[in-house]
This record gives sequence, structure tokens and C-alpha cells, in this order.
Amino acid sequence: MLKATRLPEVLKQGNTSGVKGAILIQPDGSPLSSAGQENDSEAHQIVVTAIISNIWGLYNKENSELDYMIVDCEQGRVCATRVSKLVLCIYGDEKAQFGMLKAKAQLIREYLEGPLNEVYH
Amino acid sequence: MKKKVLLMGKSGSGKTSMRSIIFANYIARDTTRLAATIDVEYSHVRFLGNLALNLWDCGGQQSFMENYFSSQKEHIFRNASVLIYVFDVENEESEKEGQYSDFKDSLHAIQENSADARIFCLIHKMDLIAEDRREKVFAHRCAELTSLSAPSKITCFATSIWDESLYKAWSDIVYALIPNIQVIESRLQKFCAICEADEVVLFERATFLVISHAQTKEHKDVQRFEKISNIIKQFKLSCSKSGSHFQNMEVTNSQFSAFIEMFTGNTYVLVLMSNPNIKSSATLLNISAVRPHFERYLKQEEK
Repeated sequence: MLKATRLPEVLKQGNTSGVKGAILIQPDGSPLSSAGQENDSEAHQIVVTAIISNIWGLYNKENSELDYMIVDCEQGRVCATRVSKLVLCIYGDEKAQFGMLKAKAQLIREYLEGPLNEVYH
Repeated sequence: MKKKVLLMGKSGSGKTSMRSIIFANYIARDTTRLAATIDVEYSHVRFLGNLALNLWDCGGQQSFMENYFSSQKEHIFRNASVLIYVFDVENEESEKEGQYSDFKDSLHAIQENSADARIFCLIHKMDLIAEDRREKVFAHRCAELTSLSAPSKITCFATSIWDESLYKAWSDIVYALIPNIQVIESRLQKFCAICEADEVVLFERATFLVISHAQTKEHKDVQRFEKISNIIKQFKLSCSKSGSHFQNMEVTNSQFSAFIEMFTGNTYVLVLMSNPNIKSSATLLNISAVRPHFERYLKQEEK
């Protein structure tokens, strides 16, 4: 089982140097857990979740070994990666560096892979 | 596992109506169609899958009652786990000669033939009493019955088919019949704590009677369980009347989220969350993670 209040604490640790938030997305597209800014609206997270899980799903269908996905937008940057059966999505503003986003995603992924694998066995 | 449950009381006291609402999916209004029960109606109800309730709905007309205490006495009163005696609250009975005699006879018969049986007294049709008098009337009747039945211990309930009190009484009755209920309760408490839920309630699938519950937060409405049983049962019935099959429900507002999910083969679970930081998919994930464990716990009782 999952102690759901622990996850946001882990995810929040990445929210520095331009990173605005992190979301763990389930295979069906629903958010399992997230950590964002205080003034972030719920709607914003839902939009990010929906769009990223959709794009990931599309690319994943073509190439099921998709490991990292980096998206450069007008007002922000996103890095998504696979963690156990989930998709971890880290998003920041346009000043966040891609390498740094990817490194954070990698670290959080390594940290959560084991525990989450147990939940999803 | 078979348990014999005797349902007795005077003619017209409401036994068959109660049984129909709890076990046969009648709504309260439908019970006006019921006719007097002739002799004994036997119904076999599966509860929690492996627990079979043999419900003996004994017609209350005087001629049948006489038979129960003479020729059929052993047949009826032997091997019973529970005796439910229904009193119509409007029937002014007192200890005067002749009144309460059937109840006393039943008590003696049960003491002779099934000394370990639990005895429940339902003071029924409470809706016919003005609301401000109900507590007093119930307390008075309860005291009378308790002294009458001494040294046997009885449990009294005030019930009506028109509100949730019926569910409360029957939940407690079947709770007394479930083996290993303490084990289930402690496991449910653990689940509640891990999930960080305010409350977790386990319902039986067909009747929606509460089997067990666990909570981490106090709630001021003590009657909430039976109210929920009542509401969900009605909703389930109206779903089937329109041809669909109730499976699960999620109710969310700014204060809480409630999840009602099919749990094991014979139960539903209600999980109440009030922590806004926990997303609903996390709770649903936890419910599906714990489901196989409870399937095992509930199956173990078959042995």
C-alpha cells in the first residue's frame, strides 16, 4: 500500500532553481501525487497532467522503450520519465536548464523506483 | 456455516416487512402489499458469502403461536443462534395476565432448547409515536422487557421501516453472528491508518448492513452508518430498477472525498478521506492493493 502523504514531500524537494512542480501520473492518466507552488491552481496541474500523459502515451505507442521526454514550450519546460508503472513529470519555467531538469528527474526516479515497484508489484 | 435465526412476534407486528426490506430488496412502501404469514416462512439468506442465515419467519397469528409451543416446540427452538422478538409499540402490553405470555413462552422455549442463543427485542413501528415521546416510550418498554427476561440478557432496539433505525438493529444482529469479527476489525483499523482515511466502513454486499468499521477521527453523528446503509441501498435499488448495476461511487466536495467501492466478493467498502493533499487515485490504488488481503481474511472464516 501507499502512504500517500509522503510522496508530495519527496517530490517537493526538486522544486528549486526554476523548477515549478512535479507530478506522478498513473497509467490511466490520473495524477497519483503532486507537489507544486502554493499559488498553483489545481486546474494548472490537471492540465499539465492531461497533456503530458497524452503526449507520453502517443510516443510510447510508437516506441515502447521511451525513457525521457523533454518538451520546450513558450513559457516553460517539461521533463518526463518513467518510474515503475508511472510517469514522473517535472516542469519549470523557461529559465530552467534542460540538463538540470533531466538530472532531477533521474534522481527522483531512482529514489522512488524501488518503493513504487512494490506497490504496483 | 449455517446459523438459525428465529423471527417471532404477534400477528401484524412487522416481521415479514422487516425481512423483506433487509433481505429481499423491498422498499418500505412495497411492504403494504404483504399478507399475513401462514405458519412459518423459511428463507435462506447468504450473508458474507459463506454465512447462511436460516431465517424462520414465524407467523404471529394465535393459532400458529399455539403450535410453536406445543407440537413444534423442539423443531422450532432447537439449534437457534438468534431469537428476534418483534413488538408492535402500539400494542399496549403489560405484565398483566395473558399479555407478554407469548414472549415469555418463547423465552422459556429458547432457554430450554438453545441456551446460548442471543436474544434481540425490536420495539417496532416507532414512527407511530410522536417524536418527543419516543425516547421515554422506548426506555419504558426496554426496562419492562429486561426485567421480564431476567436472568437471560436481551438487547433492545427501537425500529421503524421508515427510517434508518431498522438497519442499525439488523446490523447489530448480524454482527453478533459473524465469527472472527475482531480480526476483521483490527485489520480494517490498520488499513484505515495506512490509507490516512478518516473512516473506513465495511458493508455486506446484498443487504448493505454494516459489518465493521474503523476510524481515525471522531464523528458527531452516531447514526451515520445506518443512514448510509439506507441511502446506498435505495440508490442501488433504483439503479437496478432502471436496468443498471451499481458498482462504485466517488463523492467529492471541498470538505471530503468518499469512495464506495466493491471490495471482496461479498462486501463493499466506504473510505472517507478529508486530506486535500491526497489524490483520489492514490486512495483507489490503496483500496485495490488491500483487496486481496481482505479476500483472504474473509475467506478464512469458512474453515
